[in-house]
Amino acid sequence: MGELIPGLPEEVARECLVRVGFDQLPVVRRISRQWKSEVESPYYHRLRRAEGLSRPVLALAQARPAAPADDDDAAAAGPAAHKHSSAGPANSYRMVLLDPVEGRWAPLPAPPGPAESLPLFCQVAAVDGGGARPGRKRLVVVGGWDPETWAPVDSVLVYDFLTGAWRCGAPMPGPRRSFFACAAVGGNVYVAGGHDEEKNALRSAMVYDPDADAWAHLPDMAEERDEPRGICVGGRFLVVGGYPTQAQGRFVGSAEAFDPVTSTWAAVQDGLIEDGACPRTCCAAPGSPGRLYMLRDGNLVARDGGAGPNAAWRTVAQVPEDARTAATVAVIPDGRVVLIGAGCHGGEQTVYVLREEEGGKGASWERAAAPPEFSGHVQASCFLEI
Amino acid sequence: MASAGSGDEKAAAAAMITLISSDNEKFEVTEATATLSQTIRHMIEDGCTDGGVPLPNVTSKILARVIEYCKKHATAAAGEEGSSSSFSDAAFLEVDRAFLEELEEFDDAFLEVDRATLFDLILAANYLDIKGLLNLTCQKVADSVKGKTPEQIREMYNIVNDLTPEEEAEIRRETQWAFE
Repeated sequence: MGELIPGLPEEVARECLVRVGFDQLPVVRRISRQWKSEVESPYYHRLRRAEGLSRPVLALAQARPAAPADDDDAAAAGPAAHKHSSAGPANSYRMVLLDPVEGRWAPLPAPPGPAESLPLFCQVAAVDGGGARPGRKRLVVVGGWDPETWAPVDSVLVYDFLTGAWRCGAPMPGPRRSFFACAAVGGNVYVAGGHDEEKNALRSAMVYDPDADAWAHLPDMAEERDEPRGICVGGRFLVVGGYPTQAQGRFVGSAEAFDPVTSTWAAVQDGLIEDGACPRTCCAAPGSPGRLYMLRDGNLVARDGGAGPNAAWRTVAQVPEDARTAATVAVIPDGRVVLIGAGCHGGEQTVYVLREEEGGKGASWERAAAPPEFSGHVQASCFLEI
Repeated sequence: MASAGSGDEKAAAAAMITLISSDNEKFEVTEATATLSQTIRHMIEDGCTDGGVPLPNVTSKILARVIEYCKKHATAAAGEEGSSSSFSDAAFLEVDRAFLEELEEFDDAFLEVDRATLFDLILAANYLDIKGLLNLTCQKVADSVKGKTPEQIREMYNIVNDLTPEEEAEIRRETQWAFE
């Protein structure tokens, strides 16, 4: 067969292809059979990682700028982004990628549908793909509310970084649920708790397999959990906090974890987080197994797993004033904590990155660049490497 | 022979190496410049550079460019070692930053070449095992696809589209939202 790039040895041509920006992949795979199979191979993604070419990135469901900003938008977004004839309505959300280390932002193409908006209060998870499609990065957007009618939706939207396109996945079965826990674990997307259309807190849980585009029901959790937080910890789906129907808004500190291997739920421990604390900002550190971070009373707090001396929550740093109303906390693999928040509700979002000094010798926030078009409110986020 | 090169480090750093291109042109370069190439570094370590290093795969035109790159980056490497060890005050950081910017500008200007020259540089960087130059030139190829259509990219790199109509239809189906 022909060469990958005529005139270059195979391994050198590969060095070229591995450096192509992730947003060029959809075009690259239309070049030839060899280019297509190259970027679709799991080896390609391993090589990108090994050479440090894949970047830690946060995918954010972010409000579009309120004012018409078509020209700026189109210029910054390039040919992949749709141009909007009118400015998005106030409740129009798009998917944006943020490289917090480099301070680089990139909007993804508009999601399908007449509103070209992600559902309000949707959840987002990133999957690598297992089985037949290892390394194939996708974003899965689950549920939320219709941006116009505010009715809960059961929709699933899947963005594939190889095709550069959104497609509709199989809708989420069961009651139309809002404010549920959601996280990707081992290539699948898990969903648990939340409330139905009568505001009953739910025990039920489900799993979505993006390769098969199919949902399966899971056993119920032990507790009803409305507004819980879903995290992937140690290969298990951890559902933190929430509250039962009878105790609206009075969050519990307990958590339970689903183990995909045994297909069972197990109580983690009472008081994993403080009773009464909203678990929304709780997140895991991919580089330190068992460590959790969350925001509490204006501070970033952390705890380690197990029963060691650091298994209690400790204060890491005070949250900067202009990020007090924090939307999102995430940890990137090198241990840095990324915080996105605003000074007040509805204010412009700022992005901070925290470096913790060795041996608990304090920590300092560094403000990352957030241009005006990317200062909209962030409703959901997840971490991925691409 | 091998022992002649080892000894006084200062002398070794100032030692000159002669590189001989495929069309028999001779280039005198310092060892610091030449050893950005792992291939030449190994030859020096093996003590087989007396009488010049023949490079039968590299023309004088390309070798001149490669040496230009190595000279610039060898200075950069030396500068880094010098500054990081002792000073780290603001003035020094400022100088560092200015130098890095200059280096970036140099690299950008260096890559302003036609496709044939770019490929020759890639092949030379690969043969001479100059990691920085290989990264730089491969990145240039990768960046060149930005904003291009598949047809334009195929034309640029003489690639034959061997996707069957069925395969193309399949790709279109997957991407219809992105390209409608």
